[in-house]
Amino acid sequence: MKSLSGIAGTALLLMASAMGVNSASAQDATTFVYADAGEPSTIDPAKANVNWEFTVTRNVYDRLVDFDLDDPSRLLPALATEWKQDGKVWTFKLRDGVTFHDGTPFDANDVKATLDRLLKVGQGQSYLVDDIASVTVVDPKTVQIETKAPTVFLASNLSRIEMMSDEDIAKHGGEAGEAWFSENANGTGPYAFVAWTRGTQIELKRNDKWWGKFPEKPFDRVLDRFVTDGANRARGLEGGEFDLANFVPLDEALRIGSTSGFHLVEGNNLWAWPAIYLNMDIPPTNNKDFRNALVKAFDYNAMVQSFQGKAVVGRGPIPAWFPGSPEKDQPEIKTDLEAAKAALAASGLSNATMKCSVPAGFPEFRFAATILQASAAQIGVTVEIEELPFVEAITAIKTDKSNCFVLGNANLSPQDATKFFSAHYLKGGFFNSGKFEDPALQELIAKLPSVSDPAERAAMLKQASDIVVDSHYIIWPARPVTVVPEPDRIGGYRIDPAEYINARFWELYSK
Amino acid sequence: MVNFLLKRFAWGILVLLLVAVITFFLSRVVPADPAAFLAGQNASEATVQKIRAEYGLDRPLTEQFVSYMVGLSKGDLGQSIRTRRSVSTDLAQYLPATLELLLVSFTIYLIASFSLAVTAARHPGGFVDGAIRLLTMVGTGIPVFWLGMALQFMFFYKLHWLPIGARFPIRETAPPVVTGFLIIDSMLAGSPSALLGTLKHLALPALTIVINLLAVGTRLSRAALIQEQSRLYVRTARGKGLGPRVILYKHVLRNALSPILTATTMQFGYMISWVILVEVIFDWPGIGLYAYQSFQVFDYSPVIALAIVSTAGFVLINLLMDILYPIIDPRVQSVGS
Repeated sequence: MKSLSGIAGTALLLMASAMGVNSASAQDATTFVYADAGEPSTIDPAKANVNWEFTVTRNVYDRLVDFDLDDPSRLLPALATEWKQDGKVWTFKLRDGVTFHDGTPFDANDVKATLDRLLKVGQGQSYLVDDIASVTVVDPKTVQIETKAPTVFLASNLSRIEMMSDEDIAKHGGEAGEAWFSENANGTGPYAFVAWTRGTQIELKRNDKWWGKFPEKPFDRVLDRFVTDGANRARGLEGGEFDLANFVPLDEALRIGSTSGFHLVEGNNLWAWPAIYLNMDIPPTNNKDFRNALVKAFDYNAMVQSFQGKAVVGRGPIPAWFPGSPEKDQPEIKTDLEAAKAALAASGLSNATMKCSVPAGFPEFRFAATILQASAAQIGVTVEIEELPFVEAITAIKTDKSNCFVLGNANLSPQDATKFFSAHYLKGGFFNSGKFEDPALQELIAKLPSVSDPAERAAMLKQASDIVVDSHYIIWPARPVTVVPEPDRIGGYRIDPAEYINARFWELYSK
Repeated sequence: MVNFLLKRFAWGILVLLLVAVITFFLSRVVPADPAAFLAGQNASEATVQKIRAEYGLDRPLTEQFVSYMVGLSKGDLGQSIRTRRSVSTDLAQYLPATLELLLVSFTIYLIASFSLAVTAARHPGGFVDGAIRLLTMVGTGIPVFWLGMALQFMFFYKLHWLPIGARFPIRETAPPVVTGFLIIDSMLAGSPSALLGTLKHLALPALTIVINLLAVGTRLSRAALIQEQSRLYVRTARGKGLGPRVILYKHVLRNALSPILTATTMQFGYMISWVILVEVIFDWPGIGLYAYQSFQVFDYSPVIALAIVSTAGFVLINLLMDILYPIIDPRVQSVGS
């Protein structure tokens, strides 16, 4: 027994000796640790479609065009230095002296191979450029892209498309080799891929041959850590283990941002968080007056308060800061119980019951559904809430087993709203879960990209927005401001309006 | 004995097959669409359909089942839709982290629960026994996820003694992977700092598991020891003038081992279930975290494979106990034969 006690004692001593001052507090100024809310399924730019995948692709690859985060209507040169549109044909002049991380030079063949592959794969962000008909290499530094119909949005949408190497595509592409791109990356971007430790992190190193300009004291090494729990990201950030974190719960973000050694970075990027989609096919939500009653009964103040005031109530699908947004000319949407009761009476429905499927893991979604439940109860409507995994929740409404579905809205294009409308409000759109259809809207969205006059486009966008608002297909409970707590020792973080939450490591620096 | 073990082995295989069949059909009953997850936002129905075909999800259920079982018979656990790799490759990468955590936790648990039970049983009803009983009772009542978070709050957030999660210090370079067990790999690399870093990261997840296991384990072991102490042969031994320590360690302990072993087997089972929670809380890159992430997107093949692996764990530990029982208590063998 003495030996047992001895072993136990040794174990305790070892544990005790392991407890020292946490090494994280002693910061290494050249390494940046980013707490990411998830682990990528792929880092293939042709397939990446969630934030933690973009964390890698956005930093390792470059795009032809960039845009001004403070004014998304202004496009900036990136791998392309000049571009012009002539009807259906766009011509891009490419930057000289750019090389991939493996040393091969970048030219027009890479652009062609990238876009051809992206459209063939048809996943990820390919929908942003699915109107491309063909890509032609004019010379090594000039590429022409022809679209199926004239579109003014091609350049802005290309600001989201990462350029790959045609040599890599030739070598690793094809049915058998596609897997290589899922876990390897060779771009021209500011950071190069080093290693992926499954379940733990992806390591990047700074590309000192990058064509762009780093700030003073950039980070030489970036560790993209997978930290699935929001509370852990918050505590790790506060405790100095991480230098920045995404999707920190709002109350934690506000608290951390107000403590010594931190400040808050605020910005607009969300179109709605959440949005409640109503099923147009099954009763009672297939009744327009009934939907109107729900929109009018919803307690918007409660939702805004849940964001501790860091939110506004949207007047339609498009936020005010988006280029050409009609928001300022649209009437406010607010709670009006009398109008809700009148709309319900007009619907001819009484004691109605409806089911709402909510994707699990998003407290704001659940809260919005609960507010809907309480608001609807005030006009005599019963709402049953079922919280399900995302795919199951969206399947429930698509297969008419549910009357409503809750989702967040953002748009990856800095200028083009038509792709968002196609996905959410047009027939066949993946997120058009309630199966909304309107021929006039379909026509407007189809025509919009061909209109070169911005004023005319804005007018059409207002018409499109009004159609969605007047249909009462969607309840927009709130449009929150995105809030990111940044340590004072870090600088350069900005919120990208065309991403849920971004990490542009090349702009970050240590102070 | 050999026949008995062969019989148990055959039963084990049958159980694993049943688990594979049940989880296969259960996972397909859920109206989920992993292909839609893979295709991403805004993908066309044609793209989603193409992915379904690529992973064989468009084939009739019976055909998918036959194909899966044929693959399984060859040791092929299928393809993960989420990680886009074979499940066997994923398991080979994630399993060592879990095994390291389980083995360290279980070893600490065995030593601690046994020591505490013996200490408590030496003076039943005394102050030390009361204190141990109180502590273990509190341990029983604390949910594992809450305990994990409380330990993080205390040791990372407040005291800054231990890291919040993961297996190795973030900014340091891990030793080269030889076995996948970081304790062993750190020692093989001859790096005391890597070993210390590994132990620091192991401390909180292991402590979470140990505290939860300790509660039930200590109480059961203590009860077994006290019950054994009340038997006639103990009174006889006392009458013969043997000291309490000799009676406890030489006679009582051996006779009490059978129920303790049963409790230990049950505890190992609990530990396998808790590991998912613990790994998620501490971002521990093992099969628990892998399972959690796979469940979230209804990644069928890993879900079925993980059910098989955890069942295999149960089966193996039960088999091991079946071997150990007759060794510890020869009466079991005579009853069995």
